[in-house]
Amino acid sequence: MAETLLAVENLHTLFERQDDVIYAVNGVSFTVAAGETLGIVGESGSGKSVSVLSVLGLLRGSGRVTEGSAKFSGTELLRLKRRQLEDIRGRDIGFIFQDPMTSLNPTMRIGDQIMEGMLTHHYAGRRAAFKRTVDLLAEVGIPDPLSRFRNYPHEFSGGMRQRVMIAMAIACEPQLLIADEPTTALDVTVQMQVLSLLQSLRIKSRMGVVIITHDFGVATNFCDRIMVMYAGKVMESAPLEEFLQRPAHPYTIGLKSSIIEVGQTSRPLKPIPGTARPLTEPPRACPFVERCTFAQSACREQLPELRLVGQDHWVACLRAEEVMGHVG
Amino acid sequence: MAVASATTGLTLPSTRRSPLGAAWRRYRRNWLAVAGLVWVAMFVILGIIGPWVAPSNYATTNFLAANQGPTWQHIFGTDNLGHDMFSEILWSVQNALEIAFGATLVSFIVGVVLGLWAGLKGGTADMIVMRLVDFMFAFPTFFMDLILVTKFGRGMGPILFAIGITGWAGYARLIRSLVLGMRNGEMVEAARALGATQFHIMRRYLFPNVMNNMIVALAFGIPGDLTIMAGLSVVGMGLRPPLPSFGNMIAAAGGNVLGYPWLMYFPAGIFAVTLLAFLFVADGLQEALNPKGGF
Repeated sequence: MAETLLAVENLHTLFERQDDVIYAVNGVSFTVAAGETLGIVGESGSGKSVSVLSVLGLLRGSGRVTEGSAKFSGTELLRLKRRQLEDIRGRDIGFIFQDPMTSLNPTMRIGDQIMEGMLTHHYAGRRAAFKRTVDLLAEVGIPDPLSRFRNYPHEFSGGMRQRVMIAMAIACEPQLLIADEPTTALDVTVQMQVLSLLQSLRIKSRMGVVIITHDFGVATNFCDRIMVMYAGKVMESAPLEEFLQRPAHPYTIGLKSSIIEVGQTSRPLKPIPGTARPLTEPPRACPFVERCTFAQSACREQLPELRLVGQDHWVACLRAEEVMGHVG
Repeated sequence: MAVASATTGLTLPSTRRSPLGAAWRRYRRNWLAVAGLVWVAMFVILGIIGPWVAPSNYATTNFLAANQGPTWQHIFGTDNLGHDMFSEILWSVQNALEIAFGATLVSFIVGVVLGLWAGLKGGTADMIVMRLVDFMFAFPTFFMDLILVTKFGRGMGPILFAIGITGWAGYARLIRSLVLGMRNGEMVEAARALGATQFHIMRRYLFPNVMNNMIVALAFGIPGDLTIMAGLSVVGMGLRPPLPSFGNMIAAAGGNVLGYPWLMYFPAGIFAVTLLAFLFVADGLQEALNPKGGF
């Protein structure tokens, strides 16, 4: 296995609100190796984004990390000073956000925005940064990069803006690229283009990539490893093949049977019954128990820990073996 | 919008679409705003050259030619002390402009500094500044101007200072709300993810993005401050005569408007048109800089 880039362990993040506390992330652990693509899948509010934002110190408002560790190439990120984190963000770890329409500065030229990161991090001088920006624009597939350099964001379409965001994220050749729902705001046709661009960049530079998504299709098409989150906990984590062949968590199975596949008209969609539980208290039992068809009384009494059930296949379910057998 | 139309045809869209150029194109479409700008420009030129081209000094009196109607010698007539009204108006322009730009700029700077600080810091700083703003809005600022002018005198400096220091609350509230709206927005988050420092975010992200709105607010503030200046004259606390101002002339003419109406017509007319011109310019700026509607 390649060397580990990012190792997150037992991460806890909570948001304090006026009258209550939201336990958004409750003990999440994962690793990303160089050249590997990790897909974090889960429904809205499952803590996918928050766990990654926590690691980079990008939490908004009252959010704070209460426990855990996040080592990036051996450096403990959670204990770094603001300045040191600012140095790492954008230089060693690139970040792509969901909505390219609102994430770019409308008062700055596209090219200046891409150059900005390189200049802040002293990655390159002004001339070199300019040259690299033009190359980057070409690399992410923007035609006529020299004249496009001088455009403003409002002159770009959504897909092109997302390409610009990608160019900004990879400008300093980061070792790790985190993409938070990179295609959610885009048209389906553009989604594929952006994802294949990410894929080719990853192969070229051997970056580690984390893709956060609620789109199962995106995850299964582009990731080496998939991690399913629910209620701020990791439910299942496995290499892609294993994950597709032998899903071991009832939630994963529920997710998979609730997607529409093209060409498959006969199979009825099976939505997961119920809604996600509110996160106003830390989970003491399996958080999925109310919606689970495999639930037993034991599931209501203890919090299932992640355990190994196959080749690098981790799952947090007491009845994982039965679930696997049931499907297989 | 204009952007879409630029991409018609096979040629690549022009790269010369600077935001200022686009704003100027939008501004030009509004003929009232252009007319206003022409008037304001003339007013500024008059303000600069007025004292040199005026036929006489503002303090020169001529009792042999008092209360005359418009003649070739005194085209705007003369008042009860024999001041040449044309000269008075030429001298007044300069004073009016100094207040218009000076006092408004003072308010603007105080408002922007306090509002930015409140919006970025939040917490106690925000609380204190905003309560101060509430106080300024609740308290009649004209009354405060009167107190300040009474205390510090009726010269240009004190009046400029008084109007400036009492008019900042609106700017502070506006910039604070704009900054609050952006501070936790995705653009700032993206900038932070790129490793931008807080100062950098303020300088390159927040400030340029609130400037459009602030410039429009500034432009709307100018006619307001001119009105306050004239209002001070009307209640007898404006620039101390013989220093000329539109307010002084209008206030003095009000006493015998039936006998010598031209003393009212010319200063009041020019003053009113000037206020309108500034408003049209502000309105044009609003359309040009905030095509989506603005504040």
